[in-house]
Amino acid sequence: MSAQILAAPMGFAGLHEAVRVTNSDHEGDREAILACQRGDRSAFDTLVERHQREIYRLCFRYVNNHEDASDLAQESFVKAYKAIGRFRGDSAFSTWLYRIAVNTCLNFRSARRIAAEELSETLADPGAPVVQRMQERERSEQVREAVARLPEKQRATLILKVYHDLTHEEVAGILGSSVGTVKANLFHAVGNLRKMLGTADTGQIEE
Amino acid sequence: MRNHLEDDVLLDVIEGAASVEATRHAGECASCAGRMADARAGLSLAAGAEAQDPSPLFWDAFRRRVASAIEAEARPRRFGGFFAPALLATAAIVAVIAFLPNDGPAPVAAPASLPVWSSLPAADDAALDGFPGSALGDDLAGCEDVAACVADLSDEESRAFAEALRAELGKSGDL
Repeated sequence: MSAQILAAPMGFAGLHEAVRVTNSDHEGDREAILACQRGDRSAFDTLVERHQREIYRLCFRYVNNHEDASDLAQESFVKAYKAIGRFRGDSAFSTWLYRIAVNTCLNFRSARRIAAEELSETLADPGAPVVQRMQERERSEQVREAVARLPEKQRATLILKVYHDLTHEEVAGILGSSVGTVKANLFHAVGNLRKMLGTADTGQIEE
Repeated sequence: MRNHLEDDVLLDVIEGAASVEATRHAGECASCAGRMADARAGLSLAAGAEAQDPSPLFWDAFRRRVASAIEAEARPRRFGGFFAPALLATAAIVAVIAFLPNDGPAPVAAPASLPVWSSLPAADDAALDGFPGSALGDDLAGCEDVAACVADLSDEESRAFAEALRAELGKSGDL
């Protein structure tokens, strides 16, 4: 595969690794999308195969368990299939898919109505610094849990930026917010993460 | 008093995307340098949290699941979705007609262009009473307000009612 980076779809200064696409990838997506839009259901399988890992990982970071993550990833793809007739290629297909997945995760969290309660519990019992006592694996689990408890926009921003390596502009495009808001959310997210994990002075979680 | 860097500018400094002036300030100002170090530590903490991918076998199964879900979405539903209210309304109208008192004048033959059920002879009206073969008909027979009774049917009862109705109307070639 060539390493050539395609022109940014939304005027980005540069695409990051996660959405860096080669000519063949982009063409493959486009061909499959067009085939889907012509009614070829099997062509969607190509798109699922190409993007399933990233979408699953995004969902997993949101909910921190495999069952819900696979359900949410599946739901995201079904929604994408149903809406693919309206995809016009104004943004990269992966960006469009990320947006669907983020919204699916946000709706899931909203339906469960747990984000706010979880944060309150965290604030009520900040606990002693525990990270030092944990082994590496436990620490990862703890961090994942903390990420899953961040306020929604901060969580989405952190996941897309840190784990999917997207640019601020790409994250802004997916979340429908400004670059400045993305940066502010990311800054608050990492601060809150440290507070929740006891690696910073405990204090109010900033929304 | 010095102007400290905004959060977004600090992130730009961390990513090496800030102006020379901002980068210099971050290096000289203890407060901004401290905030930047905190942000860097938080980012590093988050980035260090590995999440294991599922088994390689998962992905094939996942694709099949997606394909099945799409297939299921594409399948037309029986008595469901958009047509359900219309079907129920039709059933209610026919039920009201079927249970009307039968002691009035004999029905006058309707023009051929009208639906078949509108010109059913009295004997056929009687045949519809209670929808033979359906326990539902017996339930409705004692119902004073048929429309309300039909509206109160459960999903299962509605389906049974609709099927009985279709069977009866099918006999007269209306469906």
